[in-house]
Amino acid sequence: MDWSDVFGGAALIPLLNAAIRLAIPTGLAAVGESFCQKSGVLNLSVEGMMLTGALTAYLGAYYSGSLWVGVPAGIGGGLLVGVLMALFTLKFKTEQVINGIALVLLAQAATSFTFEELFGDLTLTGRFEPMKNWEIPGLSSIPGVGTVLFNQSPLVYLSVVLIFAIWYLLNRTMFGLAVKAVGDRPAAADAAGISVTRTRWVAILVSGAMSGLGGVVLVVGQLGMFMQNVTAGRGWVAIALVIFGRWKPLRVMAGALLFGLTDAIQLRIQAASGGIESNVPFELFQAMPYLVTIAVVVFASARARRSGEPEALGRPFFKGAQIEA
Amino acid sequence: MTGVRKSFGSVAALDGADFYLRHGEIHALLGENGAGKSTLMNILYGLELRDGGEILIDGHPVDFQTPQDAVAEGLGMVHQHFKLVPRLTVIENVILGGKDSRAFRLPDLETSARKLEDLAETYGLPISARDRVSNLSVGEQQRVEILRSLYFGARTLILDEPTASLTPLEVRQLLAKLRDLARAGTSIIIITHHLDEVMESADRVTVLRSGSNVGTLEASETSQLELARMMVGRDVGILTQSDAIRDQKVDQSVKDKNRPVLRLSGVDASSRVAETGKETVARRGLFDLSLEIHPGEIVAVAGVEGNGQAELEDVLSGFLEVDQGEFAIDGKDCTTCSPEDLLNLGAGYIPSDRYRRGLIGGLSVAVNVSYDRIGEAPVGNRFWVDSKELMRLGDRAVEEYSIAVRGAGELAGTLSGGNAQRVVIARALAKELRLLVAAQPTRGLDVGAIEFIWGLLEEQRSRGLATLLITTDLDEVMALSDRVYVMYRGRLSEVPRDRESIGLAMGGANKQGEESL
Repeated sequence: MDWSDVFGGAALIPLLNAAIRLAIPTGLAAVGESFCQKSGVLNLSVEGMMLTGALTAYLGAYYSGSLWVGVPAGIGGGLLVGVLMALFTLKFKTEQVINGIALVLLAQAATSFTFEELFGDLTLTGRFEPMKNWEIPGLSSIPGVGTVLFNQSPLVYLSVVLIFAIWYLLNRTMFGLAVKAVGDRPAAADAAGISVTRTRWVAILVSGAMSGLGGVVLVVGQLGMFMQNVTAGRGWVAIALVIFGRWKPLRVMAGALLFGLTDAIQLRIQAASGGIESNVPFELFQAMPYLVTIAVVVFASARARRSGEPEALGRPFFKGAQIEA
Repeated sequence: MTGVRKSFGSVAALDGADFYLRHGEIHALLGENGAGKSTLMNILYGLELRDGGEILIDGHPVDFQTPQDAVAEGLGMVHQHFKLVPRLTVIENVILGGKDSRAFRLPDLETSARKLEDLAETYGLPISARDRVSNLSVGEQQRVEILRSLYFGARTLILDEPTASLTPLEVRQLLAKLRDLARAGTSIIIITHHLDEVMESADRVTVLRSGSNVGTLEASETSQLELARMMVGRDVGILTQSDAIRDQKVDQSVKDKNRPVLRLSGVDASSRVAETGKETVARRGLFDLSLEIHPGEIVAVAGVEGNGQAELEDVLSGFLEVDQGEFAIDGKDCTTCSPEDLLNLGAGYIPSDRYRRGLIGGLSVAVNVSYDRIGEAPVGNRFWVDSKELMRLGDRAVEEYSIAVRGAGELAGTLSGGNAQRVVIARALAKELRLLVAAQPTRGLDVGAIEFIWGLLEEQRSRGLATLLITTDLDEVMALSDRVYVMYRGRLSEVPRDRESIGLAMGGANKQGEESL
């Protein structure tokens, strides 16, 4: 194979463009999850949120014939799982870790079942053309950077805006302060008149909406189709990235970009090494981004834990309870 | 507040309690643990809802559903366990309680910070608004709590056990500040069970017992003895017993002056591997410590907190290794002993942080009474736990140490300070001991519990146990000790057993008034 097809000058700009595109679904989910965890809720249902969002986005776009209908539909799908997560976690106060895993399993089964019921089988029926890129006039003609940043799907632009919005919400607003207080010392927040439960509801729903949008970007923005388990573990990667990014939205997004870059590179290597014809199994390449994520998180997490993890992460709040560990 | 009633389940916490506060006075609310002081104030502050009775402020009835309602009426409360978020800055913690700001804007931090610092200056409670709360001392955190209340316009301050975690110096400063505040027109309620603080700071005192009033008195017209009697409803031994009487009780016959149980000689230890930013710093905590304790004596280590007591406690409980010097129990070298080794040598330990180091909150009282013996007879063997025996021992400890629980199956984490400490002591004394290290054994406890624990320590002494008592409470030193050392800046010196000598040494001066070190 020819490595210049992967990293060479002519290939570099499309590679970086692809890295951003591929980073967005995971990045959206990861940033949403960092916000949620800041409030003290360990939401492990991200994969389920993304997958459900991907299906509802697909259905919305497919049946309406408009890709844009897929956007609210996908966000709605993520929110649906978010509502379930919040109900179990905040209303019934069942164990957060179990809630999250159960919802992922539920979403995996439910999306496959629904899709099969509607389309007869799980093969590649009902493909549509994914959303076209918008070249931002002027900016996109800047050599290099223009093509990397400003020749992307409109969903990518929307995502970037939202990611910065989450950062702003967490670090520059009263609500963000409340989220941090609730995640560190719920009893102190409660005493200051902040509703712990309401704050966590919002945080879980933010995570649901962001993850759902991640599913939208994947299906409507990139693939133009749905298939069983289409998110392929991106939701779990998102959770790992939260630890890597020390619960800081922009650092988390940087981690997602690294994931996207690895993904883009492995796709290139697959293509350059002969694609289907290659004698190297493609699963090996597909595993690359996940392996890199594992490696990075292992190296980063020992320090990360101490420096950003919300103190009450994963612990339910009981108003007026005497004991606090 | 008149005729306030409140029940938790079938237990009546308040049974028609009355409380009247005047403008600009310091009013102490006194009572044993469980007397209903905190409940009464939580109701006033809207943290708990009352079952009956009425509350009037300046003549008009109020009905607070939440603390925010109370804050709007000019009340502020400083809880015993501070309600601060350590990761946030001082000013962020303050504005957290603000109602004026909209959710999607951060109020002007600059302006708020300036307002807070102005306020701090006005009241002489200096604070830096941009500091992270996690970097503040306990006293400073309390200052933040008080300032937060004042920031939101509190004219009445409720302080729940404000001195419980302060050093003696900080206590004096706090009480002085509170008097200043009262003089400036703020009304102050102090929930406490420290009689001396009541006498030092309060204008009036209301005593609660079992959920109703025993009476309200002018502080200037009462005595500690009278208040103590009102609190517990009987005469209290510890306050009437003079030093002279106590001295006679020391049974000389069990003393064996020749063989010390504990021997420290020239001990240096560095500790508190503290994380400041990213580097770890080892700080020397103990310098050239020498000390001997013989059977049948209680040796007190007095001193202002933070002068090395924590390190001494850690060395003697096996959490910290000595750098150099000699540390022996019954002549056996212990310089590299683990906590387990020390237990096996017969060294019992009552930790100063009873909740963190003394109890496993999520397990039953029965387990907590015996967990250092699980895996050995009579609680079982290496493979099995004899649950029946465990419960039996637990029940026996509950009875013997008057632990106020429904049964030994109750979780230890729910116990109040006094009962938690009884569990810790029950476990320590269940073994055949040669030495007992008791660190702050009565800190934060009520008079009844203190009396009980002092009684236990005296009883153990008469049986020949050697006890090292690390305490910051001078009354405790005077009541229990046979000999006294004072710890100052990591060094230990023996001083005569009188308040003046101890007080001087605590401040770093010796009897001649020279500055040592």
